[in-house]
Amino acid sequence: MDAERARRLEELYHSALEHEEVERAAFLRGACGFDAALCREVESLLAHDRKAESFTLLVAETAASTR
Amino acid sequence: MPGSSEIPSKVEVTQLLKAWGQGDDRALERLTPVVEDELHRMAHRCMTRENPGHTLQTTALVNEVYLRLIDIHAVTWQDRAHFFAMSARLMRRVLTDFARSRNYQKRGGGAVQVSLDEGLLLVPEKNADILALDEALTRFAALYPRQSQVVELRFFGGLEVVEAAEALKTSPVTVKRDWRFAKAWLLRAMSGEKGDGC
Repeated sequence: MDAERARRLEELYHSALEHEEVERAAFLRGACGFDAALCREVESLLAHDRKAESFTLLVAETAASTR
Repeated sequence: MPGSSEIPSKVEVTQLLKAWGQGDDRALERLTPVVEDELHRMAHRCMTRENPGHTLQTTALVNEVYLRLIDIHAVTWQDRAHFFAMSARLMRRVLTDFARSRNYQKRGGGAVQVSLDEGLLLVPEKNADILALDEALTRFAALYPRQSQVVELRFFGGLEVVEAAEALKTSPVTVKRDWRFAKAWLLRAMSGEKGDGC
């Protein structure tokens, strides 16, 4: 992945998070245009964003934020 | 420095970290065993006073080690960013070396699950996680240098959002965003799921 694409991926990820969950797919289709691969990439990251909540390794974060 | 009876003082450890930050690799050689020893000692102490199943959280552990080893008041404000970055990198190195050596022991050691202190510090599944995280983080850093520093500072350096923001001379909002993105990215990488590589 080149730097420009990496930057786009990150930007789309954050923009998608600003949308309600039900609207995200539509938002991404519009934002990615013909680039379906990029769209899938963002979606797979979003799926892991939800899993991150229960990620045992990063339990430290929870501890730190509730201090 | 194996067998060395002199334990560097807080001030010396702080100086060594600074020296390493200025490119003195001998300082790193001297620092690594000091931090490793302290980790072992702390894990052992926890083992004697808590349940065997207890897991030490990395951030708490790192904070405590630093508190004991480093004289933070001896670090000038201008040095702080660099200093924290080096400390976090050192802790990353120590923790991954530690996990790697434990994995190695496990493969060769048959029935013996984990040794007393190491078992507490990193339970087996966490062990694999640390190594997988280290590897994923290296790949992440190639694409997202600042965001990977956020992970290094927060996870391996034990810094809070605000402290990490100060160290990176950015805003807490940016650190939170970077942290969230990094977690999703790293989790996906560690789950073995590949992106499209696009």
